[in-house]
Amino acid sequence: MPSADNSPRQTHAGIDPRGPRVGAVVTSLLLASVLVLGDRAAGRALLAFVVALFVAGAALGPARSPLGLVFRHLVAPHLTPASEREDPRPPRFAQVVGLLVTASGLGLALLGVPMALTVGAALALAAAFLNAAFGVCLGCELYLLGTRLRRA
Amino acid sequence: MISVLITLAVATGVGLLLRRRNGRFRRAVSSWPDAHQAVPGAAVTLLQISAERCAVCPQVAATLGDLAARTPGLAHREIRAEDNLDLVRRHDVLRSPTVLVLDGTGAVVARASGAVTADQAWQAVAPLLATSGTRDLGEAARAQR
Repeated sequence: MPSADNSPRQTHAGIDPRGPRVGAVVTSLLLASVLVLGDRAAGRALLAFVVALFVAGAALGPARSPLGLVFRHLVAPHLTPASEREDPRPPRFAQVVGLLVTASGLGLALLGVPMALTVGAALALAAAFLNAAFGVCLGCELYLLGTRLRRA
Repeated sequence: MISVLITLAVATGVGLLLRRRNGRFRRAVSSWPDAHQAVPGAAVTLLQISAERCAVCPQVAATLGDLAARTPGLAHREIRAEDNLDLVRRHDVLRSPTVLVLDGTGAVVARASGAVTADQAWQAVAPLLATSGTRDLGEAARAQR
């Protein structure tokens, strides 16, 4: 029986899905380092660097972000060509979610709120690790919930 | 250091739970038949609800569309969650994609969420196609293999 598919999706050029995954591995390592360093100058500086990476990822998208370029030029040449392509919008949305979480943590820590840096970095680490290890895009899962709440 | 370990342990737990749930069809009962959502003439409709920001949705749509094309009596239909928030709330759709299995009257008889495989979908719809009695199941089974 033919598929009655009134497909809601336009076709996209698509990105290599392994790109955001590798980016999540790097982000996980950085955020784990932030937690180890703790709420002092070095930890705050490293978290600020992660926030900057999220800003770039959210503004430029996964194909042109710094970690995306690192993947394309340093990692992808050593891999077999991508067997499938992925819509770049979900990983970009996830970068926005990561930005909100880490920037809130850093901002509150700078205002002197205790544990803010640890909580922010831990939440972001959990999400980045889920993406790196399980391929689960937590930001994307939250997207539908956010849509429901907004128009409830 | 301990915060890193706790975070990774919790995230691993969540990841394993989500992985286990992925594509698992559960029985469902709907008090609201969505007759207009069922594809006319199909004994079973796989109604896929996809959000716009969804990495696995295109892959699931291709898998289910392909299964429907090979299986007599089975149809696949994909709708946007954003345009159907009514339905999304009514059926408590939390994840994207969610696949609702509708019988010929549009009643929801089963559902699954996440990365549904062709095999999982087939296991869920085969008994329904058999009991609907309108189709030659042997042909459907051959089409599946």
